[in-house]
Amino acid sequence: MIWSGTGFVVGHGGRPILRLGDRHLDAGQGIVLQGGNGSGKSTLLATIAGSLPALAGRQQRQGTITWMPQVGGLSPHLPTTLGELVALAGGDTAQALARVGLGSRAHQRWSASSGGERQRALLARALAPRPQGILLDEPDSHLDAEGRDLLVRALEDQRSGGGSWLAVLHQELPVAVTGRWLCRDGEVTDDHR
Amino acid sequence: MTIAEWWAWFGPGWVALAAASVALALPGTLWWAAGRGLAAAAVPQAALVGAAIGLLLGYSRDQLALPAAVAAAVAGVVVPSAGVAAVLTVGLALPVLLVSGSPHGMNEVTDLTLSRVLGLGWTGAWPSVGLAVIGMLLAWWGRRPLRAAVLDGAWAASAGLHPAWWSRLLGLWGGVAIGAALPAIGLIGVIGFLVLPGLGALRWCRTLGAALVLAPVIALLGVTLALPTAHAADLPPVPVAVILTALAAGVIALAGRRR
Repeated sequence: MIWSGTGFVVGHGGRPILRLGDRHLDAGQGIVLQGGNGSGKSTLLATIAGSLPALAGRQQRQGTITWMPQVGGLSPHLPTTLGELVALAGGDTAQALARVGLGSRAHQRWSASSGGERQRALLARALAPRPQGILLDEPDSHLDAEGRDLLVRALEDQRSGGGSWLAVLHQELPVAVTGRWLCRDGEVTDDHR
Repeated sequence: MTIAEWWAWFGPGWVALAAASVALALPGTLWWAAGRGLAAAAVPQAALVGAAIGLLLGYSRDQLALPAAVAAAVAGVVVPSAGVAAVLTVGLALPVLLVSGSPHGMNEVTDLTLSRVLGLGWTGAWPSVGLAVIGMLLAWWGRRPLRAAVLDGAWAASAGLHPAWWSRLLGLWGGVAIGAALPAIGLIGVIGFLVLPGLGALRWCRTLGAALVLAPVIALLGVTLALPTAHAADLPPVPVAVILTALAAGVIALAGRRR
């Protein structure tokens, strides 16, 4: 088990948005989180990540879990470089940047980077500490074909290395998925399609 | 005048101004990086309101300036920009109204707006030196969580870097630096050194870490050029230091755009 939640409820400002019930993320799992706009997918990921408090329930985690938030949540004018942003996560910054095709762009300003480059940098930041679990919020938005290939490879490497991932995907990717959680009407259910 | 005589007269004032400029440039840079640059102008105004209220209540002007600066700075980290702008505007007018019935009070508020750095003795200089040293140690010790909290607080929370705690510490740090520097270098100096060095450094440097090194250098450059200039031209040193710091920051910012 990498993460488990019991009686888990997430929301904003004390207002419940999603009831997760009892769920867990195990080693080797790759789970896609599905649901319409405003169904609480991003809130769920942020809460599991520890960025937002859960409204109810308990959670347990074993090992490091990292979070890749949506790139739109960050100011386009951040006074930093792609390398400095990734280095804040600890781990091997150069290797993490190389994994997402940004090996030569560590010194590039965030403000001078494209949406796709910023997206890759956030992916590198999530990968850098070599976590057991990764939570990804629309990691494929803004990415070109090469970027999507690198993302797919990173997700596959994560599972084959004994880790797991839980992701909200913008579109279907050619990556092996072990489960789908559907967020609808304030509940999370398994989608067995 | 020999160097020894010059130092005897102006040494404490120069040291106080230099140290205060460094103590203010560091939190000022972090506030700019966090998109809270307006707070850098509003918090010293709030400190002035505190000083005026202190005078009205019969305290000395410095006794309430420090707590007012700390309270405003800690709140300024989380208050929306509109609230900060309101504090800035009210802070310009309220101190004058509060002490308008007292000529003594008006003098005190005017004195706080300007500065008396040249009349400062070593006793008045050491608090600024202490704050500058503490600020540099804090910026070094907390370089990772501070930058994470400023650049991406939501992610920093997920990484266990306690951004809320560090943001409050940044507010406290800035508030203490402002409240302590205000009696020594005045409102003009406080706002100048909070705003200008960080602005120039962030335009030149690619990383926030490098900007935290360059900002105090810009502040020291302005101060170093200011005292002999002010002495030679018989001008008040703090406004001269602020103008020279603005020039240095402006040149560096323009050069930074070409990088």
